[in-house]
Amino acid sequence: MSRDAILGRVREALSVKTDAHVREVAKKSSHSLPVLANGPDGRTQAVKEFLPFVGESLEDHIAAFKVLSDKLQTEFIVVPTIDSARQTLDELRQKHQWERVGIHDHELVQSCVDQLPVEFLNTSSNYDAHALEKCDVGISGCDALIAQTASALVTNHSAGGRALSVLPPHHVVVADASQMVTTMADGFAIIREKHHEKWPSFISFITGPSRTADIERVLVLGAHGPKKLTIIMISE
Amino acid sequence: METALKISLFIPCYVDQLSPHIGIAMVNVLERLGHEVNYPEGQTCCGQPAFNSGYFPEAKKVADHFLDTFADADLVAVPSGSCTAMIRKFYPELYQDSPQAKEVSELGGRVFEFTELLVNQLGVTDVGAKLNGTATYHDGCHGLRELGIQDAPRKLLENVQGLSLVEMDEAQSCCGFGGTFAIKFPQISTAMTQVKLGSATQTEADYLISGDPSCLMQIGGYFSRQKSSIQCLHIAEVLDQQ
Amino acid sequence: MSQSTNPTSQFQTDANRVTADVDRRSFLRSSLRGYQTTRNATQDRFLNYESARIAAGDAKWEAIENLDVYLAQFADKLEARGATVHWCSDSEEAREAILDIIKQHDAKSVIKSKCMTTEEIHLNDLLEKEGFEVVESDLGEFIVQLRDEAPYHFVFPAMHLKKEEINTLFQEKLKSINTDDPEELTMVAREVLRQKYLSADIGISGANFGVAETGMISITENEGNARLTTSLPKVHIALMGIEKIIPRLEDLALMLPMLATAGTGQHLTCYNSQLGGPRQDDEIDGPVEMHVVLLDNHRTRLLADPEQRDALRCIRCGACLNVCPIFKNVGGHTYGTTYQGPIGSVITPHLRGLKDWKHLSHSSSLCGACSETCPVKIDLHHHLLRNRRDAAGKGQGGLAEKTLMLGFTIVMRRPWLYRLTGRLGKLGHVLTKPIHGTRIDPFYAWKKTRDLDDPAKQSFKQYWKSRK
Repeated sequence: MSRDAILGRVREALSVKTDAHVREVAKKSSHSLPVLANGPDGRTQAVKEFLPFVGESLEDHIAAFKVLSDKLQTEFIVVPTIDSARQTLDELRQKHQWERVGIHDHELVQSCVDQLPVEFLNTSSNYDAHALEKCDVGISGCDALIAQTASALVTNHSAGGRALSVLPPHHVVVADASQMVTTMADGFAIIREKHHEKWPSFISFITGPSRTADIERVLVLGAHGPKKLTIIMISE
Repeated sequence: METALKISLFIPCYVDQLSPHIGIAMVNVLERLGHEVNYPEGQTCCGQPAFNSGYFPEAKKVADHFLDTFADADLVAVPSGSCTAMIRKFYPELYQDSPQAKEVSELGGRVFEFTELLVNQLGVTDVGAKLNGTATYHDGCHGLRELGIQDAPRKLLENVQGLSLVEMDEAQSCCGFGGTFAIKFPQISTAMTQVKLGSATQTEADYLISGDPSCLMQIGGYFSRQKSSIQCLHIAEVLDQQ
Repeated sequence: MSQSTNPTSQFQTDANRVTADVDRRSFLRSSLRGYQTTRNATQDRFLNYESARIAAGDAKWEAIENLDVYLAQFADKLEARGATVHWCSDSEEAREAILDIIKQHDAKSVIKSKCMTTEEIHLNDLLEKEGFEVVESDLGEFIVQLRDEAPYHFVFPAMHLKKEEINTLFQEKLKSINTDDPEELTMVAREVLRQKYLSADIGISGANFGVAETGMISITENEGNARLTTSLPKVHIALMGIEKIIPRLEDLALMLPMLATAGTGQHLTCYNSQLGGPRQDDEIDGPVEMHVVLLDNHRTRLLADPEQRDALRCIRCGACLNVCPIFKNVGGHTYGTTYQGPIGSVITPHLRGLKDWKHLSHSSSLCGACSETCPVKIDLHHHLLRNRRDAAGKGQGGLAEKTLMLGFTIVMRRPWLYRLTGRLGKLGHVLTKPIHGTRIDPFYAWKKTRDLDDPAKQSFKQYWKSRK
């Protein structure tokens, strides 16, 4: 009943056309600008042509991803093979003294961690959130890496649920170079393609470790989510 | 030498009454450049005080009078970005659905703030003025954001012999005038000017120059109350210095 | 804050106090200068920021001008995936809807991530009165909640506080160690809140966008508190204004970078999550119930205004506050509104009544810094002018002002009368000399802090006449 009432009020309000002068203001600029496509195409155009440029080739994208990652304090490691990814993970284990590691059923994740001498918690079946909270790290896959923003795009399918990538103090993403795309729009297209009409209930662009600057604008990492974010990309 | 133009002056009401020297300086500069200056004597005010207070029909009545007075003018020079914005940007809004809409928008295209007139219409950036010292420029909000005037005054000032221009970091922050705002909320208005004083003082400038007499009334009034040594000048006065 | 109930006098009183506090104002200014520097650098990375603004603005125009269609689509899609959508006409209905859900689940504790709309409906007051534990998880919100005050800025809720004050607060309320190091203070809050996420029965969030096409809400954050709030408790309630809609999922690829750039100067905030429904059959975690509470609360009244519906396109980035000289000098609490700064001054009269809130439209120099910075190009400062017009049109300016304006018109239309008034003014100036500078001087408000030149001996008109 309330639905009809509110939608009714919306329709009635919209029966008066927007003032032409006000509508124009949002289109005008004192600068001379390229002609913008109408409607949704304009947004697609904007993402491609107006947002920051990160080059065309994979090398360009990796370079751009690296520059932003440094700024974000994301640890971005490019390794040639799965074997070297395994080795990198083992080095990280030693460095950070991982004992309990959260993982999930994900082909790439599984093949990278299979020799890691730690206790695992797998979030692909029923798990205890308190136990996950006690893990030293969560290792997950992703759907795409976004060059323009240095983000890892995940869903609850590619990242072992909603919590694995946010509850432990360190999040490690393993990805393949073929997953690198240019814009967030390309990322959405991948999820659209993969899940078609049955969207996952959780999608997230992860862009750096958790942070806050709520106290005197001083940047602090690990406000509530992971204090560290490592992205390992296998290039071959 | 460019061809001499017939330029009509619009001297806003408060300049007429409180600081006529600004108008006189503008006349001197334009005449020195060889132009023929006239002053339609029936002129009073652009109507902005009523408009900014929300009294649109009242403002429109004053605007009617302005339109009558300046109907035949080829080119109108105004020593204020704010009054120019009223005529060029806000008159069309007042006359949106009126039969005079076209006339209003055409007149708006012939009315120019003093510095944009010199630089963009007359193509002059050096008027042969001289003034020794350091100056900082305050952008009046209406000139800056409604009309996009930013480079013209700076080009003119850069060519004033003996004058060096230093930018203050709050150059584009509002001075705190804002018409009736300055009276209705004097504490906020004054706080804004206090920020301006701090910013101008940091530049160690001798002069604070602006293209808007209303900003100067605010800034000058506060600076002098605070016994600041910075002298506040309208850009026409500076360009009139020989 | 003053205890006065009249919003206008409360505003004036608080403005008096804050403008006199030079130290706090300078603290605010330097903080916002930092924001400006970061933001400029991020904006400069765009190939064409101006065009991006126009495109982003257009996405919101499309949503607002077709709001009936998109809202229905949004709700249908969400419901198809098992979420429950609650349509609420006002604060009262929204509070009731949320309270019902909480009671149904026999919940005891509620964790919240930042949501200004819950401030708008005064949700915390109600829940606390009903005996629930309500914890704000965003660090800034957590701090102002401990201080029992409203957010100072709708994006930076605790920006007015110095680290020393937060240290004192944490020692007092959390028995924490004595430190004014922002990192240590943040870790204190992290430890306290971690346990709350794990034990909370209900998570309440807001939504930055509602995607019509796919039926998802999108939440933008940096801390990860919204992700935890929407992952761990078994019930997730999202409260959103009906204007938050955008048409398509891909529109987020533009809107999210714009929101971050304008809001904090980041190229993208740390987590941008899209949530469409509770845990699905093939999913392993997440809440078992998702409720989306859609709030009108006079937004349709604003929508009915063919000019000012423009303001419903706002994406709440807070950029207009950050550049506003009024905000910088009076601070956030002075406004006495949920939404501070220029956008708050524009919409509050529509949401809460023009008569009581028109002063916010007058307390502006109309400098236009807000409109210049708005990432979706809302005509903010001109809307303030339109509010003034509407107030004057309704006679809310009072008889004295109306008479003054009438007099102004009469004089300014008659050159002879204008000249006469000028001469009388000069005469009046001489005659009133004895009261100059006193409280009955008509120019008292001006002259209290500013000098005023005497009327010139010779007006320009007289000069011109003498020249001929």
